[in-house]
Amino acid sequence: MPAVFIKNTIRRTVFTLIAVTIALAVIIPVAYFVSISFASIYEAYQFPARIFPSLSYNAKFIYNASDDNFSLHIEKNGIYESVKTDSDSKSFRTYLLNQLNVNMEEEHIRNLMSEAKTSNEIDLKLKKDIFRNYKIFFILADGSIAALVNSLQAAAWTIVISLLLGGTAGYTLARMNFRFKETLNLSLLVVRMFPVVAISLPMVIYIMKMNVYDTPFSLALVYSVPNIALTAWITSSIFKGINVELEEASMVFGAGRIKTFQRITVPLAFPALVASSLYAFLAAWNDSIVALIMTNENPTLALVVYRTVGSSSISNIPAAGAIILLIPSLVFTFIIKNYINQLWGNVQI
Amino acid sequence: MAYLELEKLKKTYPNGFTALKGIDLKIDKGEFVVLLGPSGCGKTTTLRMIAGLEKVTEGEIILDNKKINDLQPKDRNVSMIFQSYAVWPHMTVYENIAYPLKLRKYSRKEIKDTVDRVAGICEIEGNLNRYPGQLSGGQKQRVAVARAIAIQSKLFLMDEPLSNLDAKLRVSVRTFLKQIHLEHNSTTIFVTHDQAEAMALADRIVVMNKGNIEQIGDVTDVYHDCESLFVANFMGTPPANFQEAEVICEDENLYAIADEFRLKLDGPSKDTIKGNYIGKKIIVAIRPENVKLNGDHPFAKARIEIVEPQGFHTILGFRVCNTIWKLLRMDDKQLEKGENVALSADPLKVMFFDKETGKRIR
Repeated sequence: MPAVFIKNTIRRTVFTLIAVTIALAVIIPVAYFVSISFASIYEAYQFPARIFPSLSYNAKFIYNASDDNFSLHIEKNGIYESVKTDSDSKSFRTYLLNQLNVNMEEEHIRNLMSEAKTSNEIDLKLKKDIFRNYKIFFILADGSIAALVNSLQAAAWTIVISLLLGGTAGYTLARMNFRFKETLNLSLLVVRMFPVVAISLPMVIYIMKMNVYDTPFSLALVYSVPNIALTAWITSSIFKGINVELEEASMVFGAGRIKTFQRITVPLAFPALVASSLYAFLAAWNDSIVALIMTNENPTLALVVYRTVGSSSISNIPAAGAIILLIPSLVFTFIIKNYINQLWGNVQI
Repeated sequence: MAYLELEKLKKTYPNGFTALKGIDLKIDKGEFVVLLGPSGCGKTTTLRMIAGLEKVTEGEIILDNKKINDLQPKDRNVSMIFQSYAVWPHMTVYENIAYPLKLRKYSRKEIKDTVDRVAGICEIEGNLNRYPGQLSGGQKQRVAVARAIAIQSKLFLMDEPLSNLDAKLRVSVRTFLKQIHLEHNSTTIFVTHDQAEAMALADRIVVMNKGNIEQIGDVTDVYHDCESLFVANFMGTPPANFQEAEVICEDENLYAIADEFRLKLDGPSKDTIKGNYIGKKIIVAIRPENVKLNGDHPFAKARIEIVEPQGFHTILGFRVCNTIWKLLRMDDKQLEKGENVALSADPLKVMFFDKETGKRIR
């Protein structure tokens, strides 16, 4: 009895430890990343970094009679430390805005100064402009709205091209028998092995000849190369899972081949098509290397974030850019979540 | 002129395998014909060729005085019940039944009336708004039947529709299919490898083997009057007992003998055997229920080795010339293992086959 108890306890402990480790390994970096994207420069330099972003600071505004100037103190672990001493309201405003992400009118600061002169010390609650990093990102990253549109276009084209070609290939591989089918299956995998950069470099020449250089469509052409193979793989396994008798029944009962494909095959393969479109979307959305090679005037959002990272010394603004990049992916995944769940094994065919 | 006619129908697959070696079959209107045979005998291929799901290599299919060889499946106006039911999982039961009607451009009201009518016949009125995933096997089968009878088709094709059901359900659905056939008087071709199904349902049975038709006939013909060794072996549980024996002539009487086996030949085929087979080997076949214990003119003596009570009847096993013979008894007289008995048979119920060709000697 004790032996079994000990065994169970050990098993449970180990399982819990593994679960907690995985959760921490996933959650902590994400939480840190989200938090840092809302942090001001002052906060970003603090150690340890906050898990949850702050909304305001507790502060004191003190008049130093001896030097006839004012100093701003901010609470840190219960102690107020001086962060800025000056007599000029304009320099206070600049400091608040750039270092603390607090947007305070100069007039308000002047009022505080005169108030501090009479009462010597004022308790303050400085309200943070929580989305300031995001606003700055859009200011810093010039043309990021246009880049967002480019990204969306490139992703849409990638989905269309991969689904049309990959889906057809998948159907053919699942339903038709021909010589060298196994070879073709394997060669699809080889296409997937190519680094996209290796494809995009020679492709640039063709793209230029086709006069589509620096367009989202040209990017989509490159992104589609590995994705067609992947889509063919995913869809062919799903098409194989659809009983041929379902299609045959449709044909016997009065539908032609095309109608059968529309009304029976595609609806049944829909989860696989949606999952493939997610892969295509992510490949197009997250890429910056190909975009670096293939675009000039019309970068994608991922490329813009990549450039911003390079031009920034502290991580809060690039983090904001990364979060902006993440949102459309999340939205897209959320829209198709039912079908993704079906692909995890709930599909009934 | 028959309603459906298959003429020298042949099917060779691209890999060179010949599934059907040129069969001829005529089916009248309103007939229930069962294609029966072991797997790989070409029965399903035949059915799929009639439906248009397989291309015809050679020969002709004539339905209602019209050659339909090269018609698309959708233009043949046949309905089919599949082994896997083939009800579409992404449509409700109602949509499943309505789909062929929509394709035939029925009006909305006609579709609703038809679906309600056939759902009533198949007793699935309560499930019309459910998806096939929520139904049991038997219910799915009923949906498949409802879909098939909803359209006014020329031909009813059934490809082993009962094989995915459990044993008990199989019998009840079998009765249901027979009822449907009797009510609609539809021309039906039913494919199965189960002889019990075939005998229960068929007006005529077509026994097939290796791409050929072995015998066409009603249940009595196919069971009691087999055309070939294959049919005698395939039909019946347990199948007929076989003994290879040499024909000899003694005192104007013919005997088939082999070791301890010695059967006096009689019956209508006696003259043919006398003319052609004296000194040659033939194969004697006797159905288990035709073997009698301790009757007149026994053909062998044997000891009971196996007793298999089946409730309604009992199967006894004997060893004759190193093969197990089976005997089927209805009476409830208890027989013990090890008992010595003499075996005999009614000469009219013994079948003889040519050893070389496997054909019946008549």
